[in-house]
Amino acid sequence: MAMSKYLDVFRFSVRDQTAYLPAFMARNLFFVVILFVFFSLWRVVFAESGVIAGFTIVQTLWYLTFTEAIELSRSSVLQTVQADVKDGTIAYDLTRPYSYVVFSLARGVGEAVAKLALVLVVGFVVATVFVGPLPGYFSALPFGVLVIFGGIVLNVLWHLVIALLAFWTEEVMPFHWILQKLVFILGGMFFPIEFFPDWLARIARVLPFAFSAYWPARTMVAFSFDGFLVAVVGQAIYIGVLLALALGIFALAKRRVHAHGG
Amino acid sequence: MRTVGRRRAFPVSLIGRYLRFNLAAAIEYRTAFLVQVFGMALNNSAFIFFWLILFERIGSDIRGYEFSDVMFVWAIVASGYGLAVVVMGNASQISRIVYTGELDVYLLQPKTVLPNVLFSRMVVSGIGDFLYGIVLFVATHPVTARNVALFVVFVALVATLMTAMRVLYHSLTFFFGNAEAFALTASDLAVSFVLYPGSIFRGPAVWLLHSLVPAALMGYIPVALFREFDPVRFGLLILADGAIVVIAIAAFHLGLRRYESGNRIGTRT
Repeated sequence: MAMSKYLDVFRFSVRDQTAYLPAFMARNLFFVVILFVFFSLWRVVFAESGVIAGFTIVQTLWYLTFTEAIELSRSSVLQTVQADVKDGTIAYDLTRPYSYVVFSLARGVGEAVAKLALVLVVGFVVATVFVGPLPGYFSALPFGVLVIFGGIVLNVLWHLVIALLAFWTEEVMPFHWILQKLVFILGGMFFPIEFFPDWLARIARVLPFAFSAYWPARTMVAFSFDGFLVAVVGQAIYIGVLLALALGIFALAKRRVHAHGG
Repeated sequence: MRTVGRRRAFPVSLIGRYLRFNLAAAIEYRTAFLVQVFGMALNNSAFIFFWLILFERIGSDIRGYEFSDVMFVWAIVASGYGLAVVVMGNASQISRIVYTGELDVYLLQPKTVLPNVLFSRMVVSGIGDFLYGIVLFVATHPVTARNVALFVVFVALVATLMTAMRVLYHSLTFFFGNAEAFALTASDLAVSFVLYPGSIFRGPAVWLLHSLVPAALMGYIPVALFREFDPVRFGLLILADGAIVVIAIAAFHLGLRRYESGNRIGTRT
């Protein structure tokens, strides 16, 4: 029963986003451009060897559609929570009968899921046109959807944790830039972690950033049940850790809220 | 309101005053200033690792492009972009200035409108981009007089071209009501292409990158000239850049004739 209100928030957030999807897609012309640029790059790079680190050009371009889909469908939770903290709106939320952290999580995930669906469709069409269909796409899809959703939840939680730091620093965007670049590089945003030198790949695979990009995309383009299990278990652990961190930070931060009537 | 006639030429000393004033305003919030500058430099650094890993994995050049070539393009584009938004940071705001009627404030001042608009705003994080480009250049290329001279020239050309493209795209707002979304996307488009080796593109894309999305003028031709300088090709590059600047200025002034005041009352403080 307690969870149902957050499911309602999630549902409302998905519905709200459908009103803004045309504008969202117009902005995401960028997604098509990036896929074209990487298609051009991989066409040259793969012309030499055909297969790199066990991946074909088809797998590598499709891989990018999934990592970019998770990245581009990010919610506005970072901006919303930061604004709530900076302008003091958060004081009103403290009196409401819900957990602000879980409420923001549900709202952020709802927003991201609505965007994700559309970006995945665009990625499907564009990648098919450039390099043809992905072998095993439909058999991996039920598993892939689950871990892509896990990647979305992880991203929203990261943004929530960073946004709550505004209680201390006010401006949090530089933390976001650093996180984003860690996901870009160590998370395997542009190419699979198998492309990395071995020593770096061993470290990168177990870091939380890989569970927002590499593991979900790898599940789709090079499915194995073992890999899928690693992705699910890893995401569950990091979701638990980040949720606890967000709740902990919020509990500490609440002490810094001063209400002056009004 | 029709825009009116003669204005005094734009004094170079005013550019210096704008820069000093904008910088002083930014430094007033010291922590935010430093965070933005160094945050942007750190942000850009991530892409070095992307190219390092890729070049190491494939063990050869990418159709004629070595790692140092890609870093040269990154260096001139980062510094050029930084210089453009630090010195002429208002270029990306032209659409908003036009459709909100804020242009009235500039029209009332006895200075040439376009430079007065362009130089009056600074994007602070651009300092981080500018410095990052210099550090990247010094770290990946021998610092000789010839290399430094070419780097400086190409950074200035990239900054000029980027600003001209923004002026051109945003001037469409005079004609179509609000071209802001298009102008922002179109301005970013050339940067999205230029940061990858130009030799990977073929077919119609090559024509596009030499014309409507001038990534070739920003990066591909400069890196070829940096490798092997050819005065004729360099002259053609200057002519092409100059043509885009002239077209951008003409588009702005043609648009200015169509501008109608919103009778907005405002001040610039």
